[in-house]
Amino acid sequence: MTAHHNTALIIDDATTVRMYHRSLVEQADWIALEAENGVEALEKALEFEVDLILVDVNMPVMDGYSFVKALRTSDTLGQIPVVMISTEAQLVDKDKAFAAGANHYLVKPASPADITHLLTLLTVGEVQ
Amino acid sequence: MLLKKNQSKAPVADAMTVEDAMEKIAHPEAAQRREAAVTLHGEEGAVDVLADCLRHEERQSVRGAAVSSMIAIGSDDVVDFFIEQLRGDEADRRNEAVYALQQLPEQSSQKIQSLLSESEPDMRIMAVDVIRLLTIPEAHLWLRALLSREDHPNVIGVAVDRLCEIGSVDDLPTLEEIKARFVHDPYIQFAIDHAIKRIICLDAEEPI
Repeated sequence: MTAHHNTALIIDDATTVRMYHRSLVEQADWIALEAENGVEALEKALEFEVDLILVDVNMPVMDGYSFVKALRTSDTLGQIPVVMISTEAQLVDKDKAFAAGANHYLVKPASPADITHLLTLLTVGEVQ
Repeated sequence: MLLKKNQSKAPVADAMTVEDAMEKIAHPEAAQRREAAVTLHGEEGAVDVLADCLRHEERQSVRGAAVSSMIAIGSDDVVDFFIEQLRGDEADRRNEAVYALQQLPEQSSQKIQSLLSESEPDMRIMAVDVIRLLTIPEAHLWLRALLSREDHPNVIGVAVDRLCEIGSVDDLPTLEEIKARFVHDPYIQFAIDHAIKRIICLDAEEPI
């Protein structure tokens, strides 16, 4: 019997950011999926079992807020924890993220400690 | 006269005139507003009404038509309007503006270059986002100049990400200098290492 690995979906239009978050996710023994925008991410989330979503705000095609709002309307995907990771550090930006349906908000560049701490909490079911 | 099956013999409604469209862009029905926005495609005198529409319109179908019509006009006023939108609070409107400016490389390039020197880091990030898909040869030099003077880690992050795609071995000293300046920032260390590796591989025409 193979061990179960949690899966994180990383959504960012910047390749380097996706690679960086992938490296942190994989160091925590999670599986990483990647998407360049909200539309591609919804397709991936429908296709694969996803335990956590890390999403940027400013992206072409579908931005992070629109993605989270769309996700929250889905019967099948609506309960997935979402961490919004943005360059925007104002309180109003965090409020917008939470209003859209995000569970947590990190300011870029997120530290390895922040990401791995979240993954650890989710692994033991303490976030949501 | 041959008639195709189901071809209607009813007279076709007259197409909306530009004059009508200038008024109907504010019509209560979204279908009328959309048709008006389409009718104003490339109409230089319609910049103000299209801009006003884009400041208030919520329907995506109308917005898409208005953005296309503005891009077809492509004047300095259009570029200035979309730069104004970059400063807004709504992420989807900022992304719409980034897209529109990317469709107008000749008209927007000099203004985007000046945005790289704005005091607000979010605007510098937006400018790099526009440059991401601007097919202008100078983009690579602008990014190198930005990186040599930039102190904000998020601006550096997006600029390095872009430089991965268009940089050359001439950029390696700048990248090494930033790596030394941001020795305690794990993301910048990661991004610079990746950029250097990728540029060297691309220079040698080897897969990364």
